[in-house]
Amino acid sequence: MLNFFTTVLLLSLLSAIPLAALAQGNVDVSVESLYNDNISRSIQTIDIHSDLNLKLAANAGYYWQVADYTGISLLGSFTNTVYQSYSGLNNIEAGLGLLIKHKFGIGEMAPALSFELGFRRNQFNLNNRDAWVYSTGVVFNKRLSQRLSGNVGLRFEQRDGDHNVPKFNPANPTAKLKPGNSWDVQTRSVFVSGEWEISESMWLNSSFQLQDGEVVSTATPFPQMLNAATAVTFDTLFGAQTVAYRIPALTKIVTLDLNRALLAAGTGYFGFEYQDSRGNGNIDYDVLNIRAGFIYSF
Amino acid sequence: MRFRSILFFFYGVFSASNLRAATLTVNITDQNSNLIENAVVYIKSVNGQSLPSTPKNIEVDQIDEMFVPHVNAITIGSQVSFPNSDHIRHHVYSFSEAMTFEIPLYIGIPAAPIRFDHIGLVTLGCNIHDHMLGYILVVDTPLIAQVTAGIGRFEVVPGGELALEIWHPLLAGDEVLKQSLTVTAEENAVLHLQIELRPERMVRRAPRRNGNRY
Repeated sequence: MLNFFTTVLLLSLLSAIPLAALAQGNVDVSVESLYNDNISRSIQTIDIHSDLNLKLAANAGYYWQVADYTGISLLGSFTNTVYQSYSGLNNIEAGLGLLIKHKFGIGEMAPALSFELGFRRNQFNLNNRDAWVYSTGVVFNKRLSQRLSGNVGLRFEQRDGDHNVPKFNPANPTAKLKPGNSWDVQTRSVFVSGEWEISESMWLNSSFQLQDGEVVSTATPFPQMLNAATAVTFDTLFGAQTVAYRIPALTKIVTLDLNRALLAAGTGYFGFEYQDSRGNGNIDYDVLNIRAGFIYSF
Repeated sequence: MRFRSILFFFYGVFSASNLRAATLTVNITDQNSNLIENAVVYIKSVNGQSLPSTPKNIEVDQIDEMFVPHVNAITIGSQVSFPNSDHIRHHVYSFSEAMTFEIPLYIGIPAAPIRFDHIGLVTLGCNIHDHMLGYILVVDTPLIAQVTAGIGRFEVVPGGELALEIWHPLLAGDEVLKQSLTVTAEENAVLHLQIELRPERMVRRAPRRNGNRY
């Protein structure tokens, strides 16, 4: 796995260097710390675990204005996330994306429509979560006033896990498993988001997302879960007796971030994300993420 | 006349022996006593009389996704060329009442300069890069000083009552500050002004979390 990490890192850095040398390219680096109060996404108190992580990321983009009102961006990203307690969740992610944006008119008030297409590779220390992730979406953007802008969009994401489900759990041979990889997940989302400039150097971001699709939880097996799950596989991240299960669910996600321009090309932010999942078989859980970070743009 | 933003001022008064030109220096600081950049000071009239102005052509370049100079002052009838020195294309436009125009996507030097025939403020933008902002102030007087490091200078004839106007893109409250003074002699006169400016707008250019720049 180290070889893969090194290769991805080198490829990402190499791809960022020529982009940074171009005026129309941009490279952002960021550091973020996030506290998650239910990292296992569980409903039983015994299974709920929290953790704090540190994420280092680099994003590069190159932009072509192909017509008066239409532009294309090629985007690359690399992220390394390290967890304080559950090192099995330490992961890297590298991705590429394409974005086509069309603006309907001249000036900052003109609305714009964007189409996004991308894929990324996500690789964990505990490799049962390793996956390729494919995503596409469309976003409509409109500045409503000098201080307020809004987005509305649709997004589709498919996560294809690497590993086939084992026939049994060697650590817990009596545990019932269901065929399929728990981390083969599909989601469809609709979202609205807004940005409000509070002052010349401070702004608020907020979003609401309604996500229909599958979610994955890790828990000690219980009948309600086994009946509702569409896939169950063993997952030793939180102990030898736990399994990862996939259930269809409707998830509401709310975010709020306060941002401050700290330097000419730097932004600090603090915010939260609240997820409320209502799954099949009344398997409902919620997650609160609290995050703070800094982004610098070259 | 509106003086809300002028916190204090004074000017030098000096004795006259003839009508040779004198230098009027306008020294402008902000509310924190910092010397300001990008202000325009012009003498609108002398003894209530407008002054004949001659058009003067200038260039407003685009460098590193910025209009350079950021603030420009021209006389009515002047032409402005908008070369693009970036190696990316820009789409320059203005929706201002004093001048509405657009130069669609281009790089290098556009085909023709733009002529500005109406007084007023023209705000420049780029349709690709929303964070690009520039200003052209069109005035009907030849006595214009662009303030650099807090200093703007004029050559004036002593004896007349001067109607000064001061403009800055970050001026808090008033669009144009007005000030009149009489230079009564030939020695150098200094006018000190302290004006209140809004903070620089950093939001538009700042990087975003999960944000694509373009």
